[in-house]
Amino acid sequence: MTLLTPFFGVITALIVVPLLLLLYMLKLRRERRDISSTLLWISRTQDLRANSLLQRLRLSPLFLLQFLLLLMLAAALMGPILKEWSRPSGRVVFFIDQSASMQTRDAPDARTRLEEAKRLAIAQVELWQGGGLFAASPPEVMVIAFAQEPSVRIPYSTNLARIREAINAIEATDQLTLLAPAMSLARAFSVAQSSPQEAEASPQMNQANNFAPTMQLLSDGNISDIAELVLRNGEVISWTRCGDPNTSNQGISAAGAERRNDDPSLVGAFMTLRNDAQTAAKREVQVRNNGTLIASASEPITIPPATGKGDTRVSGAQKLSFAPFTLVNSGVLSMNLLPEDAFATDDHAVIAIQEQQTLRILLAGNDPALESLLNSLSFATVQQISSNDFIKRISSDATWTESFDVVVCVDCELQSLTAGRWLIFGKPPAISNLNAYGQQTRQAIRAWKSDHKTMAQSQFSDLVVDRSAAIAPTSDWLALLEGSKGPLIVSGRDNNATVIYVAFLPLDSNWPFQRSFVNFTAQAVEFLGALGSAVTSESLEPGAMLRTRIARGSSNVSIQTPSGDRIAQTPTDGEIVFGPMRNVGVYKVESVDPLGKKKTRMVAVNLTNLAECNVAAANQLNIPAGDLQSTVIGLTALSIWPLLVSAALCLLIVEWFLYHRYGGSS
Amino acid sequence: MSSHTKLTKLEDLLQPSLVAALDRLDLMSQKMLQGRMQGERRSRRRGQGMDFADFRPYAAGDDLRFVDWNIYGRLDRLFLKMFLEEEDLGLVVAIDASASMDTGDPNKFDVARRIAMALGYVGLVNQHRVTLAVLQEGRADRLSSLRGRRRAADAASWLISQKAFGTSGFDSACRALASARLGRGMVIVIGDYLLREGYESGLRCLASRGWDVFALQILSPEEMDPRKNNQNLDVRLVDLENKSEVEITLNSTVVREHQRRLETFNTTLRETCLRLGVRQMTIDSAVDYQKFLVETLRKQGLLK
Repeated sequence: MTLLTPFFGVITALIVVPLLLLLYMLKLRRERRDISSTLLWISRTQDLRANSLLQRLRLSPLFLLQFLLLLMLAAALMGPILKEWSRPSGRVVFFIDQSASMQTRDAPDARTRLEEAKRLAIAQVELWQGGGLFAASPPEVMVIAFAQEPSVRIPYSTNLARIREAINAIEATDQLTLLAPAMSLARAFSVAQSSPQEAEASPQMNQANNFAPTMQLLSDGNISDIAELVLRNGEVISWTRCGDPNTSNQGISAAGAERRNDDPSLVGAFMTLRNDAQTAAKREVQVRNNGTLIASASEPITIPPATGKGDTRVSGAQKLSFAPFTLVNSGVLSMNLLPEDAFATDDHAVIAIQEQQTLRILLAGNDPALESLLNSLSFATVQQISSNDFIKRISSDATWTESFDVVVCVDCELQSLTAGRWLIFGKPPAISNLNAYGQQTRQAIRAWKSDHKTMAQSQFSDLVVDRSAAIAPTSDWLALLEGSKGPLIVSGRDNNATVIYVAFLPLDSNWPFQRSFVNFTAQAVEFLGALGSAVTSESLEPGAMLRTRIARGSSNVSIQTPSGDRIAQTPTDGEIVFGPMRNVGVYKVESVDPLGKKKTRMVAVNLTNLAECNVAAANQLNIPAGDLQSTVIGLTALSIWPLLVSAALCLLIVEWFLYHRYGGSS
Repeated sequence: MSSHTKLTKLEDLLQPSLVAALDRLDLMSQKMLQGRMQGERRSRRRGQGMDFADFRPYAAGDDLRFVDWNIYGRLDRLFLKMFLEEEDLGLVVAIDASASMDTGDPNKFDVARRIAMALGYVGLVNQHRVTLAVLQEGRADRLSSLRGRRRAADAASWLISQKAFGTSGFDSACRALASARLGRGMVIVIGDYLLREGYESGLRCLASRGWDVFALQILSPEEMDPRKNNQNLDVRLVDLENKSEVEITLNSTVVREHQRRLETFNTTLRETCLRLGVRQMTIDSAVDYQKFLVETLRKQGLLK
């Protein structure tokens, strides 16, 4: 048992107990009352006579009860609690996990983990703040809510009301869990820390480390960057697990929809279901378009159980595809797994399908293969111009290229790149990012980035390039295709230009005779055309940045979040950047173009991260370097003062009964 | 607690409204008493009264004035006419004038004097010999042998002049009263009877003289319920006679205990009086004493 405010209780006892003794020893000042005779009173009151100011203390049951009652009240004022617990001194940082998995509803009383974490944190702070006037100084508390992006909810403070308000204001997000940024943030607010080597070299600095804040982590333990976490010298972190390690989850791990190339009015949808449980699960699946049910499984879908254990565990998966349905206009496709389980966030996925759209392509230069290919694309209209005319035109009107969705250049000598989306073949543009330094000959293919949208479903191993430009792009450019002597296809940005550069002409290779030439060109045009949104929108993960192009001169640009909030945006160089996005759902980018036409673009955000969707709370946290106290942090300390006060009240009732049953003289 | 009122004149003791009611009343003794003088009270003795009672044959020595000559003329035999003799009644009203009577609200001594005045008045208007006495410090000071309505003012003056103080010395005072040559009659002893030395000996002494004794006990409302008219429950009780003190807290248990003891005390008083052939009654000093005199005492057989 620990006493929170021992001095308060002792002082109170030292005052009231002697006072009680004095009151019992002092002769009671009574009102004189003349009566006919004391004949009938004598035997009753003989023992109450006192002839002096101070009378001898008579130990009556009432006195003993009152004595006991005062002692109990004094003990209650000492703030006793039952637990091996001590109030931390100095500073305490609460790290409260607000990531997606903290929305799992497996805490007591059907609370979410985040609600439980907030409740525990508030209870802990209230416990530290308890004790009344004579309590020792409570620690200064800082609250940091963290998911992918940490935020300080309240800097170091002892104001209980403000701390409680700050904790209650922490809202759930659907982001991943990254603790390291949160710890960096906490360190920035704390005493400067030193590395072990510095501490060894400087004892004073090492002493300062002793004032490092006590760190209190309230999380389910599903922390993505736990392996990269390093605690510095003197730092100690205590973890309170919120959530059940046995909670399993089924969810949608992937979802997508595409307009068909042969008939863009038809949209095909597919999804993958995941099961983390050891047993197979049956769930119903529904697909809705703008709220209208368009597809539903005739019977519950069986999702196979997970296999393996520990790190080798693999979730069960079930892939589903739906028959194409007609959708000419834009829409929101929502896929739902029913009924919802404890973690509902991944039971729903949304896909924003853009309006059927035709890309406007400018082909500068002559290349029969490219011309033939671009003209064959059903979603594009092609305007052709010679390279010389093109150079002249952009010299006089730098914004002309921006009026096209994609500009395809073949062997143009570009001195700079104007704003727009560029697919460039042959001669490299004179931009510093590419660092062109000559030519290469006879190259085979070494590697390609198959997970890039432009390189999907393509095989480049048979490609041979006879002549190409030699480039050494800067590190912020992405090499999509690596030849034996250098990069052959790269992607990157130069000012307001988005560029995919192919360092050779198709006719200088055997590429036109390969399927990958068709796939790459079509996908590159589609990708650049609307940054991937020409046909469907890509699904982003929570925490990602929303970056989209807005026509120059547009007004009333805003973003509507899934919760309905509308946030005004100011485009910069024809582009807005918003984020990181906190929650799943559809984000609507709305604007009015220079012609007064309202434009809406929808971006879907879905949680498909496997680590975050595995909602079973961690059994333990393994921090590679540092001291982790994986304990329940004393939040269950039992306050005894209510029991003592209750007992004192019972004593009061007994005393009252005795007083009236046996009279004041008993 | 004393709430002694100023009694200064006859009207204070005997209100005019009560006088008319008292004029119609007379004392009624349960004993056949022989008065000293012929009075207005019809006794059981055959004598020289106005009401015919019976005849009896003449015997030598009888007063020839009572011979019924009409019967002698018809029967030629001498018969005497016998009448119910009318004689006076001795009435002694004694008041306990100890300090203990000077308590209560209404004051017990005031109530006692008013009752004594009323009873005395009844005696005076019915031509009885009325003696008023106060029992104090073992003595019995008295105003003796009053007769007739015109002596009511004297009786009132004497009662008004009396003060309650000291002890009663009940036993000695009763003996002193009994030894006085007051003839036979009724003795009404008014007091609270809360006597440390006891009351039995005094009452026995009076009863043994052949008097028709009536013991009237007056208790104040505070004596019956100690918490009445008292906000402060922590009190120091002071005995007005012997100045002894008792400190006590008047909680319900203590009051209940006190009332139980008082009930026992009163029961003992009743039983003692019954044993001695003394009529007894206990009243509250807050009683409506006019109603008490006109109705209650008639029901008790003290007045008629």
